[in-house]
Amino acid sequence: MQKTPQSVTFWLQQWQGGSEEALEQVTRLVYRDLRRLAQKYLQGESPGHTLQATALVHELYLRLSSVQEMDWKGRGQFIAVAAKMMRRILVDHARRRRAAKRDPVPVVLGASSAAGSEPDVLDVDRALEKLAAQYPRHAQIVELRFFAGLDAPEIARTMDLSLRTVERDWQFSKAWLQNELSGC
Amino acid sequence: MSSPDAERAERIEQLFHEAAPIPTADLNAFLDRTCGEDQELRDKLGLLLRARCQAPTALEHGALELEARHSALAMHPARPDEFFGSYRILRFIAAGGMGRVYEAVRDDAEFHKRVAIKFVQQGIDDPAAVERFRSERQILAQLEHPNISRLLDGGTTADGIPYLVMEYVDGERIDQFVTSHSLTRNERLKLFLEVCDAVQHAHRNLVVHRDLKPSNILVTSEAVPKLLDFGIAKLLTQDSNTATGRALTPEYASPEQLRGSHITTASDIYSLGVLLFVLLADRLPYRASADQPVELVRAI
Repeated sequence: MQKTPQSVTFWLQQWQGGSEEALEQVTRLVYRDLRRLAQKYLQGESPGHTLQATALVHELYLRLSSVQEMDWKGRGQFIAVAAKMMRRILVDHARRRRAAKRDPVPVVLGASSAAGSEPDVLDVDRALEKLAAQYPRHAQIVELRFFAGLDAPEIARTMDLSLRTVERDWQFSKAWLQNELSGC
Repeated sequence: MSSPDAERAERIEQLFHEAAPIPTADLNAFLDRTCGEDQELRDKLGLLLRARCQAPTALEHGALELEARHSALAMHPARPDEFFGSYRILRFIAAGGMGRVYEAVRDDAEFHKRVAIKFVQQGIDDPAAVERFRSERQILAQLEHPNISRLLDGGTTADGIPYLVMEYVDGERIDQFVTSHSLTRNERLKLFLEVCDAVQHAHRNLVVHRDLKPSNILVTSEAVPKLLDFGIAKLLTQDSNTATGRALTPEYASPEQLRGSHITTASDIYSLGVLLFVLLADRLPYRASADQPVELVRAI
């Protein structure tokens, strides 16, 4: 496996080794995409197809020919790490967004108070931690799907599971998390 | 996790899947049959089966989109007739490169003042940047000059969106004003000198405008020029990770600005020079036009 300096493989390995700079690099990418997406929401455009979590992870690993050459086991590990990275970045962003709230300050009535009742990434993250305690395999599937945007076949390949298992686990996890989140 | 717990977890999952094809009417019987006396099991399973029927939540769309939606909602600025502190929003004025501007009115017993409220589009991710915003804002608020639109107030909303409240200026762009009012050369120069006076005042207070151009210089019906957005360009681009989406109109920008170099009062002077040319000649000093930004930048 080749390790070109500054390549994303390099970053992810560095990150696994504890490098903060690696995380910064990818964080920048993610924040950029977050802003673009948020802007589209602001302008009333439905971003639906334009930018999905998958796009970023694909951007991360498809760019590298060295990754293409990896067998599925190698790619699987790579993707799993990328998913964890996305998770950490988005959870951090959600924390900051929440922390920026200040009371009492003039509040614009309407939109933001309505949004407050919908679970956000931080809520999902916490619920997912709880799920992992009882159903670790399920939690891993959710992480890949929710944070890295992988679809069922991709998850099945990555985790070396049958498609049926992945789909069943997803159904169960959704209900479990939904139940957990409704307490928010 | 101890073994009985693991077994229990497995059982719950197993029953969950077994229940899938069973019609709602028959579910109670199913639960009776499988859970028996185990009320806890029955409750847990019941909750899960109900959750299964509920509409998809945040989970369906992916984390990136979920967080983007929350960020966008946090950034959502005002709507007409809504209140923002002691201001009542009147109308949406424009969406500039940096944010959305609304006209509002301060409606309390003492004042009835028209203001413009500008919300920073992207918000600020970084607490240190919020602090810088606050202290710079205080410097700007002290700029008092008849030809400078006053910064009245500012802050950060509950959702972390910086905003600025400025004196509302009802006027026409200076380059359009001199044409529509058919000003003579001397009259144009007089107007220009007033603008220079304002810029000089700011420079003495160590404030650089950074974005002098006709759209930032409005002239009222009494022919009083007012400069807008003084120093705001700096204030609102504190975040070094600003997305490249913001377009820079290069026509009035100085060479060092285009190069991304250190900006000084001289940059303002450069922009004033371009403005003077435009006011006197009714065209830009460069042969290239705004339609070809690359050519224009090269010319500058």
